[in-house]
Formats: sequence, structure tokens, C-alpha cells
Amino acid sequence: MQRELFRALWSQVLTFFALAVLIVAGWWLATESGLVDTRTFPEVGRIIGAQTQLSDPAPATFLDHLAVTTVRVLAGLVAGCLLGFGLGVLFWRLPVVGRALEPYLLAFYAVPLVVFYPFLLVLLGINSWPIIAISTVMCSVPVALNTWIGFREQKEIHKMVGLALQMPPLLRFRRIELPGALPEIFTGARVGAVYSLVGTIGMEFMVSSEGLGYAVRYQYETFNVPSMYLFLAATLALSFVVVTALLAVSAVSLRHHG
Amino acid sequence: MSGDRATAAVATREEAAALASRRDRPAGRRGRIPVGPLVVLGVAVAVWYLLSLALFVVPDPLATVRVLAGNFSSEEFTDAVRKTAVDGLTAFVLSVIAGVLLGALIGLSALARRTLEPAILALNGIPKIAIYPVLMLVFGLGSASQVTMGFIFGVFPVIINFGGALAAVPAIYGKVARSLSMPWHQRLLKLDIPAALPSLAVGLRLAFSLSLVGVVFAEIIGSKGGLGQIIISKYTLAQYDLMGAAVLLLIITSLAGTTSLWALERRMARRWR
Repeated sequence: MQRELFRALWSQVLTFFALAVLIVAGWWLATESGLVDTRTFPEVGRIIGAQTQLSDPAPATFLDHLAVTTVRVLAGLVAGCLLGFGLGVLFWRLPVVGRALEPYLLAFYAVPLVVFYPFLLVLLGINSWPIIAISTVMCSVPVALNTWIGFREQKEIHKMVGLALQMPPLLRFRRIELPGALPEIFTGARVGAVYSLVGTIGMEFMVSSEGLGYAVRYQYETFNVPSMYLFLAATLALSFVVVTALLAVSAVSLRHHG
Repeated sequence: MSGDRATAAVATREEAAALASRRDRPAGRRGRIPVGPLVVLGVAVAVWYLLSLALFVVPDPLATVRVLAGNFSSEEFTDAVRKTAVDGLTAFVLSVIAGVLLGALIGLSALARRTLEPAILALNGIPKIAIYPVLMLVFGLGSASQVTMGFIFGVFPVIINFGGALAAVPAIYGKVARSLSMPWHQRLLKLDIPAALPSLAVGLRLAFSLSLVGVVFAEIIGSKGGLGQIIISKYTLAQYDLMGAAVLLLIITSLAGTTSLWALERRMARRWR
């Protein structure tokens, strides 16, 4: 398991850099040869040297926006993983609850949760909390489903070892059941991270006055196209860092899984 | 699919396990009224009602249904529903066509799998909504940008599920084909594609959901119409009952489409597994 995860980690890192190089090279060729309209796709040099300071309504630097989005994504990810883990354990211990909620959880992909943002704005105010709330909920669903499956599909032999050794329930949970479910839980967390990013960036587009999503939209609306691409690149780089970091955490945490 | 292959493919695993557990249930339980999910629905409506008492922005459930029924045939709603439905379906169909072709390429060619699959998995892991301003720059505010957004959302689960399933066709099928001297196209039609159909069905359902989500996302951020645009405009005008009606309609439409494809998926799983 660990070897597979490390291989996936390296593959992800190499692919990202290869893609980045290919896109920049293709972009440079297309703009320099006049294949594309440079008002829509500005030259690489103009993007790199673009203005990143947003003057209105809140003066903030590139790093300020990056920091705001990073905090929101991480808050949504951590809260979503905790909530999802709690729900997954609840479904495992009380299968009646799990089966009752199962159709709704599986249909979760069908509902664009961002349509609830007006309600959240009134409930939580115009600040970071509605964004973190959406991000948390979006992240929690895959984590809950995978946690539930991870505990439910334990190997029979593991359960029997716990019973044979007459381990108390808490010790059995800590030493046998939780480690057995960890690979599925981490897989759910990696999907959750992607949803957390989608929720955060999407909400920033729509309701926020800070963060990378807002900055991309602001630069688009003020016709500052090179800056828009710079913020967009930062958004994609942040996504890559979050997803790759979680893959690295999975690989290290699952080192005893062979 | 192995655990590390893709974050997106996990949906397949979650749902495959859910389907497996459903198949394991005694046959007598099928066809019974789903009491648990109905209780959850009742609790959700009760919570909605309580929220409507506490928050002015939340219309009560009965009023929302009444407003939806009263406005359903209005020109504004009909146009919005038509636009979202047409854009969503167009994005879905394009996702399926491109996803099946690319999935087949990845699933059947080891070279294509080694070169393209890591890039597809990496691209799937990014928040695609971030590139919507680029689509608006290229296509403007018309349907083309929303359809493209829906396509970008929907194509990945089809590629990953279909490609992964074709690549994972048991080796024994190949031996059977060779021993029967089957030509390649016959093997593809008789063995490989049927073996991959259950996974393709999961991909189709996810593609439908995600295409619609992508289109609505795009409509909310910037478009000339559609249900997403109605939600945002009614919120701005403080017409919360109409906003609630649009949200309800969207949820019902999404769930109805997903549930139908889910039924198809279960039939395919029972038939081919």
C-alpha cells in the first residue's frame, strides 16, 4: 500500500511539472506566433510581470489573498474530515441511520450545494464562515462514505483476533478497527480535499471580497487579464499542493500497511 | 482500480461497495417501502420549516411548493428551466462521447494509459470552476461557456471509470478470446465493453450530476439566463420565495435524473456482474 502511494505521489508531482512546462511552452509558442489573440491570452512575460495588488474595495497583496484561501481550504478540510469521520463511525455503529441516509449521500454529487449560499449568508454573516461551512459539508460526504465502508469491510480475521485476545472495545477500535479502516479514510479525505477546494474557490467567486477566487473574478471584471491568469495559476498551484500534501500524509501514515 | 489511482475514481468504490451491500440483502427486502429514507426526508422538511420560522430568507416548505406550482408555467421559469436543461444535457452528451472515446483509448492502449492517465488524474484534481473566467473571455456570457464548464465537470468521471474498467478486464477473457480466435472488434463488443458497462454506468450517472452542477455553477457566476441566474437574481431582489422555488426545482430535477441513472446502473450491475 505504502509503495503504491509513494509511486502515485511521485507520478503526481512529475505529471504536474510536466503539464506546467507543456502548458507554458504551448502558451508561449501560441502567443509568439500570433496564433491566439493576446488580449484573451496574454504573453507569458506579461502574465509573470502582472500587477497583483487589488486596489478596490480592499487593498490586499497577492500573499494576503493566498493566505485567506489557504486558511479557508484547510479549515474546511479539517472540519470536513472530522465531521465525515464522526458520521462514518456513526453509520457503522448504527447501520439503520447509515441506510436511511445512504441514498441522499450517494446523490450528493447531483446537488450544487452552492445554491444554499444565500441562506448561509443570512445565517452566518458576510464573512469566511459561509465559505468554510460549504467547504466543510462538501468535504465531509466522501469522507463519511469512505469511513463507513472502511469500518464495515474489515477483514473477518482482524475482528476474530480482537475477540480472541479479549481486547476492550476502545483498545480494539484503536489497535485493530481504526488502522484497518485508515486506507479507505485517507482515500475519502483526498476526494474531500478536492471538494473542499471546489467549494472554497466557488464561494469566493460568488460572495467573498478576498481570497484567490475573488481575486480571479475581480481581475476579470476589471479587464486586467494578465493578473487574472497569474491568480488563476496560483489557485491551481494551491490545489496541487493541498492534494499532493494529503497524498504524502497518506503514504507516511500508512507505512505499516505493507 | 487500485486505491491510489485517482481521487475521482473513489466515487466508484464508494458506490460499488454500496451496491454490493444492497445486492447482499435478502431478496424479500427489495420492493419494500424505504421507511428510513422517508423518515430522513420528513426530518429534513421539519428542519426546513423550523428554519423558515427563524430566518426571513428561508420560505416555508408549503409556501415554496405553492410558489413553484404558481410560477412553473411562467415564461421566466420555463425559459430558465429550458436553458439549464438544454445546456446540461448538451454538456452531458459531449462528456459521454469524449469520455467514452478517451476512456477506450486509455483502457485499451498501455502506451496511452502510461502517458495520458497521470495527466487526466492531475487535471481532475483541480477546482475546475477557477477557469470559468477564461471561458467567459473566450465564449462570452452565452450558453457556450456554460456548456463547456459542464463538459469539463462531466468528462473526467466517464474517462476514469470507463478507461479503468477496460484496463481491468480479467486476463482470462483475453485467453478465451484467443482460444476462440475472436477478431479484435468481436472481443471488444462481446467481452471488453460488456465487462466495463457497470463502471461506465457509474461514470454516466456522475457525469450527469457533475455536468448539471457545472452548468448551474457557471450560471450563478455569470450567464444570460438559467436556473442558477434566477437564484442569484431573486436573491438580489430579496424575492426569497421565488429563490427557494428555483432551488427546490433544481434539487428535484438533479435528484430525479440521478435516481433514474442509478436505477439503470443497478440493472446493468445485476445483468453483467
